[in-house]
Amino acid sequence: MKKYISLCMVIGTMFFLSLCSSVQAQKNMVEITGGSYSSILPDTKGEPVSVSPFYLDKYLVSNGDYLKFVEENPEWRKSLVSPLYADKDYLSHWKSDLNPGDGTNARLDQPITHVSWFAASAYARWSVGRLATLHEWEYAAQLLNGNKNGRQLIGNKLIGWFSAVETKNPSSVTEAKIKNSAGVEGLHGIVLEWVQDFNPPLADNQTLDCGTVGRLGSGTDTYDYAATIRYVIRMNMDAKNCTSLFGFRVAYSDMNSHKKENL
Amino acid sequence: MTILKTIIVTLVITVCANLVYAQHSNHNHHESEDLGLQKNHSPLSLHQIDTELTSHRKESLKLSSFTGETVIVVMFYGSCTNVCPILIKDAWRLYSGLTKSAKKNTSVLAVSFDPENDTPEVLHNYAEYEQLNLPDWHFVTASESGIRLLATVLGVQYKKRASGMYDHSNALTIIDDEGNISKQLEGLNKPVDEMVTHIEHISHQ
Repeated sequence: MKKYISLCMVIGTMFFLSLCSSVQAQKNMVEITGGSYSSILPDTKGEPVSVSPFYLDKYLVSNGDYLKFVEENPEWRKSLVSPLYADKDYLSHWKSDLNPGDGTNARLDQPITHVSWFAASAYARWSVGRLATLHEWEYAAQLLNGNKNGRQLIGNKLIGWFSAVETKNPSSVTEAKIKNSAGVEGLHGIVLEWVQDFNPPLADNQTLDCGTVGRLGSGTDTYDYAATIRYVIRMNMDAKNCTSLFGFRVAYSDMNSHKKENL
Repeated sequence: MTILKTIIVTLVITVCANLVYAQHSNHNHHESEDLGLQKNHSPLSLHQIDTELTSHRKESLKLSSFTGETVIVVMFYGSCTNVCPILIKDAWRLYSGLTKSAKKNTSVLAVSFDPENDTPEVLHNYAEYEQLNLPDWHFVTASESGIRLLATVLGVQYKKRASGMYDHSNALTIIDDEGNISKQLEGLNKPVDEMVTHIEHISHQ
């Protein structure tokens, strides 16, 4: 009799835990209210880009988070990953498949890097979310609700930050210096972030080459300068590339996106 | 005691079934999307992409459904009135340029960027309108992430405008019988002779 009861308790606990796992994944998401922003790469020249409400994780995905992902999804371990989805530098800063080790940027609380766009997308699906679109991400990055000088403030902070940044040792994902008004942290850090359409098609009259960056000088602010560099770097990436520059965070269409996004 | 046993066993079975169900509903997105550990001859084979495609005939397909065949892939969307009809016509010029024996072993996969509007019904009407509702032609839709994955693998760039229209690059891609990207033609209304010759060549090996 006792045996049955303890069996029931064990199974009951397992059932409960399995229900919790999907809730866990969304614990850190915050709502980004919709709106519009002035993009350096607008759909139509001179017009603001509108963005619908969505949810975004407060923090970048960390080495620790990513470790759970590869534990559950063996095909994403560094020794097993398909060359279709990642180049040879995939998780190259990790010691082995299931051990980040104590190398540079490998601390469990540091943001994951050396992941391809494919890997980031697969992680996002596993977290019942998705990557943000480029416009969603850029909108969230410049968001400082109710403050008309938001961009300028972030721009000024960026200047201070750039001059003091410790590039060799990114801080923990929860210790980012700059956050947006929705509470999303680390959007402006030394880790750039994969977005769904990181390399969007450009209209014939649009270019973002080095010359364009150089000409930005007058009429644009510090923020635009940093943003332009971000666009150029992103657009030069290949979806398979795994570098120390790129990490990611997860976005969600709505609170219950995992129910709707029936893949 | 027996009754108690029965109750407990029933309870255990129910809880287990729930558990299995919960796991399943929690993770069923993996089954279709997981970039699984399949044994492929070629490490770069697109057949390892598990994205579920639904055709204008409501058939469920995957890229691996075309193992042993040559596939011409084109990405488009139904409400695109200026560029996409030309792109679809390009695919037709390529397909119709093939000899009978090459055609026999070649399928055309027209993948829509627009899962919201291009339902199988809409795609069916599109195929009929373009007079391309042919047995080896598949106008398909997939989940948003599945379409993005496929486009990224093919190097096709697209983005959705706030208006619901899409900006996209134009390309015809030939995938060989093992799923490898074999040749690609970028642009619109380009000569397709080289592509025709290429398919003839790979399908007669």
